[in-house]
Amino acid sequence: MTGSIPASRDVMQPARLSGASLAVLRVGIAVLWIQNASWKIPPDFGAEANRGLFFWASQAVEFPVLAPYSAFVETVVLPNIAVFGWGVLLLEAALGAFLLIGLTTRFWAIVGFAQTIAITLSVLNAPHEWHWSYYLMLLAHVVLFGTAAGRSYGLDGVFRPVWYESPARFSKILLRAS
Amino acid sequence: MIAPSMHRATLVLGIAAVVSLLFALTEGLEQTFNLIHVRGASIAVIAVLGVVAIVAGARRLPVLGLIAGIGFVGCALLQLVQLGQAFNLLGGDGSTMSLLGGLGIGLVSVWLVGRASAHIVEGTQ
Repeated sequence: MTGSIPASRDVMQPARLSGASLAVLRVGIAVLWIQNASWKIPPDFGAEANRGLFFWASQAVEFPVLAPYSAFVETVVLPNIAVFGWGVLLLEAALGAFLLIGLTTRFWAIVGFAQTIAITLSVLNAPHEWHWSYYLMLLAHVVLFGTAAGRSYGLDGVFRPVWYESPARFSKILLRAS
Repeated sequence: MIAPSMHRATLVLGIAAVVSLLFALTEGLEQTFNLIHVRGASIAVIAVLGVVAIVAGARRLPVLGLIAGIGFVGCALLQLVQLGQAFNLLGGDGSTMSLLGGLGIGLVSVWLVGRASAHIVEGTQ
């Protein structure tokens, strides 16, 4: 009988494969954001030619998902696309950068979730869009947050023991963010 | 003494930089495969700084890792100010900036946390 019971170490410890899978997911989502930073081009972010970020943001007005959000985009975002464009570009570039190296991953997973909500509210009803693209993006960020994916083959996993031992208040914040 | 895991992290970041050069091969392909724009002078920058980081990690030279990190961050900032400009020294875009920034922030943070780990170890001895 005892021979058929697996060793507790094998039962209780997470498989190395699951950690590696989380790392692959994290890097994949990072590359998603990195690529999205490539087509946000200043200074007008496509306003003059009605393309790029300006075009996709205007889809929130043309094909509304949530009326208050559409009104916000029409009256605040589009007239000030140069300002919002820089904000989106820097935010998405930072999302790609931090998720790539797995640093403060839980914080950036929340940021990524919020940014995906904004994108979803802009383009969910636009023609030829596959709604599950955005649902899957949201779910992927839930997994990155819930599993603290930066601890698997990311810098969070390397740094957390040092942050834990450090008396600095900022280290406690970093522990929460990772 | 800096924890060995910090040197390993520097080494892995250097290897990641060199591996990212594979994206130079996707130039000209559809965006389905051309995920990160690594082209022009950014190829040389990533190759050189990536090798510097690998040497820093393998030989346990944290200052060299910091130099590579500062180099990556500097190049990311250079790419940032040249986004949308006709003159683009590194030949990249927002994706190049994000990649360079991530590698640079990673290497600099490894140096910073490595220093902190050394202080903690010394403080507890």
